[in-house]
Amino acid sequence: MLDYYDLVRTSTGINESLAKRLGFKSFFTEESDFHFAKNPGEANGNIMLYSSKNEGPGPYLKNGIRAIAPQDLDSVKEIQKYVKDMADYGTALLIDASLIEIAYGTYRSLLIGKISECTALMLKKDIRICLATLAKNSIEMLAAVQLIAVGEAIGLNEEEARKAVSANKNIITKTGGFHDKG
Amino acid sequence: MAFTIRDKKRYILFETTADIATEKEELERSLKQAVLSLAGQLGYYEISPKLISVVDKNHFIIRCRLSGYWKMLLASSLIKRLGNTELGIYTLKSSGTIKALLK
Repeated sequence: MLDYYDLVRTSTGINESLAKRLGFKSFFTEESDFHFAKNPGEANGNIMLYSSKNEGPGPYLKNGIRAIAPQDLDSVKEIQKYVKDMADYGTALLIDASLIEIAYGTYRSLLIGKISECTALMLKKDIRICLATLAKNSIEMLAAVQLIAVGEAIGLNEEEARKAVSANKNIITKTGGFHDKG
Repeated sequence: MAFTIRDKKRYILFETTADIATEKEELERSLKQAVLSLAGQLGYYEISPKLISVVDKNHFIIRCRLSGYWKMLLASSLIKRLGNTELGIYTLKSSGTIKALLK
């Protein structure tokens, strides 16, 4: 049986008890366990939040970014151009489930559709897919099975979705606090 | 002899981040609306969500059809507001019977 991990942007209200109740082995929090690269110089071993308003992921990929998390509909479309580079550099695609959670109406529908296209392409090219809430608060957090359900909504089958939630551990640069160090 | 078709059901225990004890009707309406919005009128029957009970101020039980279990989980993760209150809904446990669910 796989162990599940989640990446979150807040440490408020996060503890081992909540992780266990929600079906995770552990949470990893920004700053203490992983970092978002703010410029290509910080890319090595970190995660890129890719927004269409910012520069493209090209320089980040060359500098060893570990995973790229698209942050809007346009960046989900754009990232498909970097599939070859992502495969060459071994970069993972990190799906930010909170984007889908907080989206509404047709925008959510388009987002789910575009992410589905994107994941299909990534799977075809053997690019690792990770799925996390990247929650900014307790409202955006989800249980492991709910994350798996989100995974199924974006075109993964159940096994792929389970692996994607489990794979979050592989993009963590360091661990600390109460988190599992195994 | 009468024949009936019995659908398999799934009971799911949810936890919320906000107090729901006084908002049972609003909770049921929000859940059904989320399912309808997600699955559409044709897909709603496949899930057939029903609020079974509010266990305490932060926990409640939903029943759905087994075939719509994953869609029910997805719909629950998309609910972020109950009336004027923002809240998160987490799935804690699921089972085929209420007895096993509350064990």
